[in-house]
Amino acid sequence: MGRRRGKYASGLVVLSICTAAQACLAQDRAQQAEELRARQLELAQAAEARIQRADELARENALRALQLAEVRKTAPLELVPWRQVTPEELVMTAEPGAPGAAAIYLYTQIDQDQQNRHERIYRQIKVLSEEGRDLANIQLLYRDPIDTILGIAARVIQPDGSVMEFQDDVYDRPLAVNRATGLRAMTFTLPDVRVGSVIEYQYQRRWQSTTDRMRWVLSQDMYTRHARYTMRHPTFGSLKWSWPEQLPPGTAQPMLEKGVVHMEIRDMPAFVVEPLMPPLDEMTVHVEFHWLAGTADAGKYWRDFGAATWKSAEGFIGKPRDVATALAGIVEAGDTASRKAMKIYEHVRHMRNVWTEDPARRPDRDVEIVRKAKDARSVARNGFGSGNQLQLYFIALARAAGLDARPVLLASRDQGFFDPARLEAGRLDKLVVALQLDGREVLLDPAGGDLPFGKLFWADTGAPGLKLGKDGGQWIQTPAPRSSDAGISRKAELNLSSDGLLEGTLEVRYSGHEASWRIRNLRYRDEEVRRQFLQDDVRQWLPTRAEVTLVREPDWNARDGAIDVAYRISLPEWVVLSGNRMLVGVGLFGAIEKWMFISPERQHPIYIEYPIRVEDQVEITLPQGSSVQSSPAALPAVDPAFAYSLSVTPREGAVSIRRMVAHDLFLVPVVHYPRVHAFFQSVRSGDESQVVITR
Amino acid sequence: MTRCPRIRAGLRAALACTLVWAACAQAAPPQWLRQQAAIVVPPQPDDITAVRLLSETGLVVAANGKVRRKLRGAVRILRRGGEQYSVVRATQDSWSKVRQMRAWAIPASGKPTESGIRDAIETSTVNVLGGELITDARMKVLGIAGVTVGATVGFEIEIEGSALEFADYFRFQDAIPVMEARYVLRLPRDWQVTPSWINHAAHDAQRPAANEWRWTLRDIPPVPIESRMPGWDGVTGQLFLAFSPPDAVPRLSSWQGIGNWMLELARDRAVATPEIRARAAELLAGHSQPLARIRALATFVQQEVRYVGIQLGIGGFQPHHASDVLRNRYGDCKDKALLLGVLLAEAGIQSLPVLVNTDRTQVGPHTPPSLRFDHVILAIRLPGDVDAQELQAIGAAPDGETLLYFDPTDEVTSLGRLPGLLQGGHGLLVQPDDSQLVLLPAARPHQNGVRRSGRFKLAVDGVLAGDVIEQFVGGQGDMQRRYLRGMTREADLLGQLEARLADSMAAFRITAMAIGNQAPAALPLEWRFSLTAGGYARRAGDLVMLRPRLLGTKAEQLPDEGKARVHDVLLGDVRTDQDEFIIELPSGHVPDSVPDPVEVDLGFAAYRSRTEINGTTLRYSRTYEVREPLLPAARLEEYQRLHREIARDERAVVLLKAGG
Repeated sequence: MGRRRGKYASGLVVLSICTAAQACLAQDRAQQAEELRARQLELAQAAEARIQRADELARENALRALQLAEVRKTAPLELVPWRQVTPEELVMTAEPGAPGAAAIYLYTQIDQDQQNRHERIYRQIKVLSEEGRDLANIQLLYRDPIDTILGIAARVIQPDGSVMEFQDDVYDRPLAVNRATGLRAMTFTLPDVRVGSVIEYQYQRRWQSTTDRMRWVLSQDMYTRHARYTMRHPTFGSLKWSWPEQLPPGTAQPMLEKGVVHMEIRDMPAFVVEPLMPPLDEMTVHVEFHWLAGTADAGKYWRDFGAATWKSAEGFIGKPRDVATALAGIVEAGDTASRKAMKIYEHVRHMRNVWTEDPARRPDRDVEIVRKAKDARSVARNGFGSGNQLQLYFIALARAAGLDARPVLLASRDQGFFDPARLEAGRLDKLVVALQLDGREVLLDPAGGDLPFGKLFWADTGAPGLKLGKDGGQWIQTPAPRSSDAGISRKAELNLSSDGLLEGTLEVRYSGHEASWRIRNLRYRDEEVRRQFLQDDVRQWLPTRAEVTLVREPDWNARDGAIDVAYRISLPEWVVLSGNRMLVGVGLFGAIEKWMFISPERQHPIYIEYPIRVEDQVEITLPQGSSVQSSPAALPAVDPAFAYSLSVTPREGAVSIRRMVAHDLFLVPVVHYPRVHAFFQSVRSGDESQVVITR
Repeated sequence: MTRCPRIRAGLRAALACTLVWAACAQAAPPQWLRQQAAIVVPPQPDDITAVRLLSETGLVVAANGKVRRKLRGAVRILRRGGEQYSVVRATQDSWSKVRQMRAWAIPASGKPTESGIRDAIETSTVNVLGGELITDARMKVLGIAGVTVGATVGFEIEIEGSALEFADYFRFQDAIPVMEARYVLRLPRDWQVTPSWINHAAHDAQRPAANEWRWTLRDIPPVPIESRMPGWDGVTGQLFLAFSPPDAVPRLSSWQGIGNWMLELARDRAVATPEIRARAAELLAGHSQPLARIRALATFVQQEVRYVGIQLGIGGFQPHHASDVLRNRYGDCKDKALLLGVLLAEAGIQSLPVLVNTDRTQVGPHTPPSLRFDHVILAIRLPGDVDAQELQAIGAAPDGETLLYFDPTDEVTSLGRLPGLLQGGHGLLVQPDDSQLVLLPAARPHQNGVRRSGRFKLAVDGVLAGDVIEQFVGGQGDMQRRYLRGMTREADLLGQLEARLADSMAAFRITAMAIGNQAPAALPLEWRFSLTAGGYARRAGDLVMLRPRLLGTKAEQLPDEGKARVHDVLLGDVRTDQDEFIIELPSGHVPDSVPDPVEVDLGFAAYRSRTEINGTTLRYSRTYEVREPLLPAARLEEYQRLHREIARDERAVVLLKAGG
């Protein structure tokens, strides 16, 4: 039976649940996921791995092509009867529910048959403006030879009711085709389409092999007046299906009757994309179908998965005696539990994680050694490993030291949000460690290398995970990110010349999440690329023309959670000369906030990868004989969730500006948007303040 | 016209998303590539990520017009980022087919790998800007896996086909250094070749045999990619070769020949059927004045006929029948120009097709005759009694008559103007036995620009409230119209305005908004809006600070400023922008200091601004004029100085002494 989905599922639901066969598969998937993370750094090698499969894929595709040829021989399904366009629809010039829209869907009908592996799609579109006429160019994508498109029919109805059937050619074009991939498009264009025309077309898609997931995406790029969906449920497998908590008003829930799920919607608004919104998968309204070969019982699915993965992990961790020798070189007998934990953490995180190393420089032999490592003992012997191997090695050492450590599989947020109800074990793609220490649980990522003890990479914060156990384990949620976990601290010492030139040094400290993503993205890049990136980093903060020169790169091997960068900056236009006065704006680093949430309206919740705290300290030495005439009053921070403070302190021949912007925005419901908008308005307003200096 | 300008961009865009690195088998690279791999590359600057060791084209032309092209090349990857040069591309169309593609990678250490044509991805273009394009042009792309720094990558490509024109281009310059570029041409006995060098000094050919020519260039410097630089073909070195059989002049080797060929292709397509006559009569009904009649027909083709390019085979050059274009209500640029020409003829008005290139640096008196066009517009002969004063796109025909140039494909540029991209470029005016290059008219600065005026009231608490009218004139209006066509929700329009205002004001609220003249028209596109900006004026002690430049930013900065400039700078369309803001100040506020007037005139552009206070009325006005579309690189410093002045003016503040 289907179920209603909660809003922003995102793994906030805690379940404990799970099959042995799936467990092995999931273990492989976890390993693959780790490799996926390192892909940016080993693009070439990953590509090579794919390529090794190209011949195999080509053979598979040849077989599929033969099978599909049979499918193509099958006569297309009968056409869906063309829907009668009403007189009101013929003459309408606008849709009240979609002001300004170029076109709307009058009607959509999608009939899917999972049993016979085909679907019929029918769309009826009303063109309301010149821009909407481009919808007469229709492109139907398909993946040859996985699926095919048949039975295309189309026509145009003019406002006077006259009908023109489409009888021209349909062009079959390659978009990206080689022997292993075949993305193609059936393309055609309808004649005599004007503002006011109704375009309608339908086609049939057939696919060669069964698929285990399908969905109806009810949120379209255009307003939909009426849509009908049906799905014929296959006779095999068990079906799980779900729909969003909030359907359009007046919409009945999808129903399963006589093997067919059906649903109708009316007056569905066009989907709008906004900056800093949750992943599209979370925000579009869709009904999901999932067929499972085994159980559809989520509890059993996850229980079986957790238990099998636990067994596999335990096999790698081994017995305490396996790593006893290694442990002896790390901890001492008198160490407290937390001291032992710290020492083991430091030891493991200084080990080489071969997957995150520069593929151009790491020895191929080491990659082979990592692939062959079977247990913690091999990691101890090798002195390096993959990310997962290092995490498990940490657990082995911790346990050997008498600590309670367990593996946790997380669904990282950089891959989207996770919902355990979707039964996607492959989404648990990140292995971390749960360590019991002094009565509390600490989550650790020693293989991350650049993270201090107790810290996780931003994508692993606020994320659901399965703490593995013999019985399958328990769902946990990693702590949500806080503004104290990510910081940018800028300290500028500038000289102001009598002609208004402001120049000097800028030291920037990135900490927490701000440091770790930069380290991971830049560590192995060429010096020139790093230099450009870091200089652009500064330019994007400055709302004025600036010369920015990198003076000192950070230590890319820093492991204390922070990196420091030094620049020389020159700002010829920031200071305004007015008679015998100079005006110095206090929002020297406010360019980012200048553009955040400027609109007073918002449709979707806000989603920011992690909150942040930014602190600026700007010391300006004034020209000889100048003094501060007036400075803005201090703005103290008043809201703990959104903090903005500003203080200007004049001194003899100098002025000191301190500015702080911090917010704990992460996932904010749209109902709170006015508060967010008001906060950033106040930041912008404060940043416009000026210090008046007399010459 | 032939290959739509959008096709190449479309192909690249399609590939950017889909390229899969090819499977590689270990294989022995050919001897020539092994020799290239042994070459020691001299030290290169830090920003050079790769060097082209060899770029060679071999072209064999047979007497029957068949052509065999062999390409081969080698690249050394010097730094990260240079891997992009390991991707091999080859195009084919109705006249040519890629027969063979092979590529090898020889790593600095390790075993070489090989990829072949079966590993290449084939793609065509989709969803070109502003319409659909169906073409038989295909690109084969071969990516080579495992290419790392230090590797030498090489390729061989063979393309066979027949020559549409007896001519070829050798584009030997690149964004990376080319150590050796070679072009080898073999023609049938007694054929001749005429080389033309573009953007490069002439080089003599070697003659290894009587019917063979060989040009070799060494150490060709890279062409840097700079912001606002002219089109690539406008700055890179090329060798153009025109071949001719003995005692025969190839048809497409002269402007006249190209024009005649185009006319021949269109001859039986430009026929007025009863449907066309009926449509023309319907459109002309009620219009007696010649210009009104032209406008009625032009607007119909521009607005009612969609841009859809179906360019298969000769369809890249030959228009569809005018009757088909009318019935389908779609066509490409040459289809639309043809239909309009036929409709105009029904009205007794003559017109001529004009072949153009949307990169104005591509065709001109400096380029040899070739099919280097990507677009067709129309030159309409204006009857003598038309008052042409209001029309910008006016030129003189070779016979002295007045021509009105019009682009029926551009849906936002109304009759009387040409799109900015075409202005000041050259086009081939096609007429029987007398086709010739003509200079297309360019707008004058006062015919383009943004005129903004606002009336505001400043409250004692610093809140500013008022109304603004923005008029986008000429090409600036067309640009706005094009942009606004993409806005399919009212909320998008508001968002666009909010984004513009946020560039100038910290906190504001739009209280009313309306847009006028959004349809293509000679009238300016108009935005009218009202806003309130809290805390716009700031108090500092007894002073009140107020920035009189309320809206609009003109100060620019090239992203690559600071580096030595090589190319001329595209300044965009010539234009005159004017702002005037009148602010009613609270009573009792008296000026303490007012920004000095600014007046900078550098010839190619000028900027003037003035702030005045009269009683309680503050008036800020400024004019920004761009007089030249292209600025020589040597004058870049002047451009920077101008924009520094503008930036200072835009930040300048009036200080008022608050009364009471």
